[in-house]
Amino acid sequence: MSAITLDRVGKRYGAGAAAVTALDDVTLDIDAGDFVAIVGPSGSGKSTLLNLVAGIDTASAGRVHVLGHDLGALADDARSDLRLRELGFVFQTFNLFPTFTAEENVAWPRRFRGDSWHEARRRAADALAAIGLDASARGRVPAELSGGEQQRVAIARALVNEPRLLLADEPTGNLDSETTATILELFARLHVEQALTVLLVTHNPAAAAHAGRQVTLRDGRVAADVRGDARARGARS
Amino acid sequence: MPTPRDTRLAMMFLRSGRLRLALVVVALALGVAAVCAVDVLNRAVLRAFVEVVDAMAGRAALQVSAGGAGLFREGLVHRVARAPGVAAALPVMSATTFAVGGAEPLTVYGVDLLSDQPGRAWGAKLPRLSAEEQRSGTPEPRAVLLPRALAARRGLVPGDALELETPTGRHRYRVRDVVELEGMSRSVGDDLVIMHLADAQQDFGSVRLVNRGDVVLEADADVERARAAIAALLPPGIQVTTPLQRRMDLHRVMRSLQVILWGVAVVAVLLSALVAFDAIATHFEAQAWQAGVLRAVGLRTAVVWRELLKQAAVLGGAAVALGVPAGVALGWALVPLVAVTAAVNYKITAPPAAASLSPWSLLIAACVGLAAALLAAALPAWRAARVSIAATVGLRGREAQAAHERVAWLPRALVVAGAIGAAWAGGRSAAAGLVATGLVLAATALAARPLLAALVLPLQRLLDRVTGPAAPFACAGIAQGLRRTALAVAVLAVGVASVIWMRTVSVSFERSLVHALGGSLRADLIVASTRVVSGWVPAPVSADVLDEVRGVAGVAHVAGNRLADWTFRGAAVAVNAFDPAYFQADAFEKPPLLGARAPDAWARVGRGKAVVVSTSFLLNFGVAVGDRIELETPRGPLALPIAGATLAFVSPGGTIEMSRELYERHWRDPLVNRVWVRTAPGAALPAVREAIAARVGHSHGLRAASAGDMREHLVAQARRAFAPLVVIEGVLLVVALLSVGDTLAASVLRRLREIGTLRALGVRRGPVVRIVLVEALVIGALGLALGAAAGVLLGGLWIHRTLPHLLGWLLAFHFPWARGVVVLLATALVCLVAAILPARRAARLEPAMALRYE
Repeated sequence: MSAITLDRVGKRYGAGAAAVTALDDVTLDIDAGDFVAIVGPSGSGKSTLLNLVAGIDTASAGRVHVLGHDLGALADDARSDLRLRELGFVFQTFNLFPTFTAEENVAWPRRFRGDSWHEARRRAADALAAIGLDASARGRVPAELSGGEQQRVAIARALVNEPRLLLADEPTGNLDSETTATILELFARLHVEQALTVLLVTHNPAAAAHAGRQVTLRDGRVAADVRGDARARGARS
Repeated sequence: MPTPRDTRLAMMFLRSGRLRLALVVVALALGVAAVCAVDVLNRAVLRAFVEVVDAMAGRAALQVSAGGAGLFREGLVHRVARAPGVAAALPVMSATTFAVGGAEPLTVYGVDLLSDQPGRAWGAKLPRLSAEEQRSGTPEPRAVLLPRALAARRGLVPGDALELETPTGRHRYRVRDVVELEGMSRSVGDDLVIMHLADAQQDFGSVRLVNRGDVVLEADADVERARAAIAALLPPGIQVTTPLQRRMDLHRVMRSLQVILWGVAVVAVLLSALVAFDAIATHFEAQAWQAGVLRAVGLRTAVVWRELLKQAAVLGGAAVALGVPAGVALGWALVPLVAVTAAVNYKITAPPAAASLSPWSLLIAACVGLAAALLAAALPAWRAARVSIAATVGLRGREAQAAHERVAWLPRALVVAGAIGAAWAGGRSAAAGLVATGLVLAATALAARPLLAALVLPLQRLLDRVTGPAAPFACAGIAQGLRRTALAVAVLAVGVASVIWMRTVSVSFERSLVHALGGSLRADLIVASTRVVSGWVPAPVSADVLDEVRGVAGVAHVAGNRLADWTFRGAAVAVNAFDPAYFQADAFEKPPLLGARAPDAWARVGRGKAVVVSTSFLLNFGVAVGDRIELETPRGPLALPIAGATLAFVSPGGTIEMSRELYERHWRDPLVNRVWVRTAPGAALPAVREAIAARVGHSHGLRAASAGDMREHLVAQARRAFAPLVVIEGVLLVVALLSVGDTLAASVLRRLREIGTLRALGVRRGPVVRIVLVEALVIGALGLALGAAAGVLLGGLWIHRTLPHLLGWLLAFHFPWARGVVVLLATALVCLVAAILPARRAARLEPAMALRYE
């Protein structure tokens, strides 16, 4: 079953002669349970594609279907509800609230799902434990956490609402190689354990290698779309 | 989903930016405190003055009087007693006196202690006279009754002596008994001396004359019908009024003061809302990326907006918690001062006003604080909630490039049109004057952005010649953050405008008063009581004092002066009566006449053939020089032409200057408040002064002051009246400057990466600091210029339109140059300090660190 369908999607910024085409005629189908890496050089449209799938930006042309919903037909509030209940978003720069503790950063989305603060914090603790953050770190604010720990907290926040789709925009862009490896292994494990559909934007080939499918963008267009077996055959050859 | 009352998320967001949030709380608390203090003041002062009115009548349903100072025959009250519906009519001679050595005024009630009428009229049990007194029909002379509370305060018991200062000199009275006034004391108060009517007439007035009659109606009598029946019995100049009517009159008088106080509160609330808006907008802009994350994770726009507003509600709650006790304390502290202000301005005795707390005061102040916080946050929160998610989450704390927003001209045009309309109507009603004040301040704030947008380029060209390459960067910084910079200019402008406005009003009043006094107090010495009975008017004394003073060696000319409150066409005015010698002799210079005048105007007034009125009288009653006016006097109508007009501040309603001979004849009032003295050529002024003091100082409680001393004394009274404004001006300016300082410091932090780029490209520290300084000085200069222009406009509006309507005074406009210089220096200093410290710190950072700043 298709989790994400992009049908001739385009995105332009600006107008007239100064317009910039970020995406041009992109058609893509991602099945539920897939782990897909979107790769490409800077300015190729990777983050734009992710933003369109998340519904935090709107396409200039074509249609975007996510988990059975036509995002172009949804009102802003409905797109927000979809993000809250079905999607999880991990940012490159973590985007943790600096005055919240790690636990509070993970708990607040549950609050907006209807849980009490007590229940929200309990679930947050569970989510942090699942991603392997030390219990002693839960009461610290982001400034007191390492980059890897902050990204773990961000991942926990993305997962606390039990989404069906996890979107990650350069999640290892600000991390060292050792931490990058740890985070990517975490993604792979969660993909399997929680049967998540994962869409990972990265310019790091090593990160892309963890995915079962790799879609390459260049100048806003799909330049290549290689599945895991085909990639392995390509690597061997 | 968090309930509307759940503020946990809001509290977590409020953990950052504590200094700025403290500024928001302080600014909002200022508005709350102002509203609370003004409400406390209005209730306390009005209640106190209403109690004074009630004190004058006790339980009497009606009161017969001849205006303020007029005396009428006692027999008239006995005639009133026979009117249908009247149960009792009590002739009363009331006066204000002082105990020798005491500072607080006492009220004297002279009533017929031989009858039971005082008890019936006042509902109080007065002790019976002795059998001997009843038989002889003559109570013990100069024997008084004192309320228990007063006697206890002064340590007096029956049999003790009490020495009082009266118009006829100091007299000793025996305390006959101490009485329990019970319910009467609630309305009359405890500072009361009750004596037999004949004693009061002899010592304070004239034999057989009284100044009021208290009327008690039968239980089933119709008040209006009885009032009409009594009025039919009274000659012209004598009126019958109800306590409600008197209360309503006083309400009208007090309303002017209340409007002025509310005007100050409105300004404080406006400024506090503006400062809060600026600081909250800065706080939310810093949080914009967090709002983007909230939206990215899946919160609806309205939910994000609500969560941001909760932060404002928490801040508003903190402001209420801080502002209410501060406002109550401020109100309590200012009650005595405002009571004196009212007494000085309206020439009534300042009662011991006591502040008390009303739940309404607290509720109003709390609502103002919360409403101001929510209104200040509504727009910035909406902007923050509607940011582009994709644009803001990627910036991670860096400010998004604001989309170019066009200046909204329609709301600005509407506010300006409203201000012009209200200003035009300000001459007709106090409320319009207040509305005009608020709209002018709002227009000042709204003018900041278009002004800044229009001036940025010309300023850049101008500053380029002065500051070199710093100018383009500074002006670029202003243009980039136009909305925020304009807000800082607006806050400063409103603060400066408020200070200039208030100071202009007080300086104009003081200078106009000095100018008027210079024209009117033209004598070598002025002899008057050391006691003040109503506002600033000295206690009246017997005209016999004139002969005493005339007999002092070195005195060449003497003229008596009587100041009395009266009514004309139902409105309060003052009569300022001088002996004919004042008008006819060249010894005394008269105040200059303004505009049209009759030939020999002053001489005609001296002969009792005309009057001179104040310019406020002409304005308030719509009359002109040459018109005839008819005064209702206790002796009947008195018609006189207006021979000229002069500047006088005796009464807000207007002043009528006439011959004291004429006044005494028609009002039956033989007393004087002041004695004008011209010394003989060659006589040493200090010696004459001492001789006068020796002759009448002790016996009558009088002192001789030079005209200069008297002028200074009255000016000091006027300064006291405006003293509360000095405190308020200071607080407003400090809050405005704190806000500007915060904006400037935040501006430096926001541009840290830009500063790092400049340093990385080779720009030295000095020019970097200069860029920030130029921006700060542009903000300061524009805010000052805009604020000064608005302040002058507001000062002119109040001097020329609102105050004449509110108070009846016609003032000349005087700009407060000294205060203007202080404001200029304070603004420049704050702008420099607020900019230079963070700018130097930023310039000293290693460029690499500054470039990494988010």
